[in-house]
Amino acid sequence: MLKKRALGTRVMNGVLVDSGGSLPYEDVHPSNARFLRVLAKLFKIVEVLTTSGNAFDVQPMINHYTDSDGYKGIPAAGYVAAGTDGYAYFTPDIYGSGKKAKSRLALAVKPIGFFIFNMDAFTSGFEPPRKITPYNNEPGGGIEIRHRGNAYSTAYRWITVK
Amino acid sequence: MKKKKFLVFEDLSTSGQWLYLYARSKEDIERRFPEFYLFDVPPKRFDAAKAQIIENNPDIFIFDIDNLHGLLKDYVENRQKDNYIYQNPDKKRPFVDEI
Repeated sequence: MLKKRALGTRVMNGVLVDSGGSLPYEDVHPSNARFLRVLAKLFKIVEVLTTSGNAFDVQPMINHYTDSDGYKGIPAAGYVAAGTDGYAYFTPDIYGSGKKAKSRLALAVKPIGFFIFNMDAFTSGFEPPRKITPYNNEPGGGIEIRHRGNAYSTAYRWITVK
Repeated sequence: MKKKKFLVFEDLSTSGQWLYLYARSKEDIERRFPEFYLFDVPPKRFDAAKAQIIENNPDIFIFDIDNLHGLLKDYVENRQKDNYIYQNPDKKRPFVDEI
């Protein structure tokens, strides 16, 4: 043991290396160190994705499906008016057809597309996401996020579906 | 008979829309648009700011039911028949004014 320290070298993976005194932590516990590095990177990714206005400008987006009346009316009004029950409805779901959206979102009318909104642009009022139950003679099954009262925000963009 | 201006709310399923409809009577509107919500007195949810938005966008929000144009004409001609509530007025939800 003393002889090893005097020489200042050791053999790792068949290669002669300079220990430089006490060995680095990675050399003593290589698997633990690798695990901690991966964990640190994961924490960094989670932090970036969940921080509003982060370096990558990742924003939580939600969609508002509507028909041609809403397509014209919502931008003109400047807000999404609460429906008859006092809520404006949004969803994180994306559907390629109006028929599918009507079915999964249990809508009374077939939408022609959806507005994409940045959730951060709304001040408050969202309720937790929940699964859509059968309604309007449609099976539901999609996810809805209700906004209590009128939802004031400008849409990021419009997507037309077939 | 001179037409009067009526305030109605159109349920868009995921949201709603305030409209002014010119008609001779309430019955005229109720017969042609049973799925709409007609108000004798503006509800609390309809304030002066919303009235101003309608006035500023007459092509989108103001219609004469005997001479429809634009979106509402298209709605009556093509889409009203696909509206589940129009086909099943008994399924119409109550209008909640207190949010």
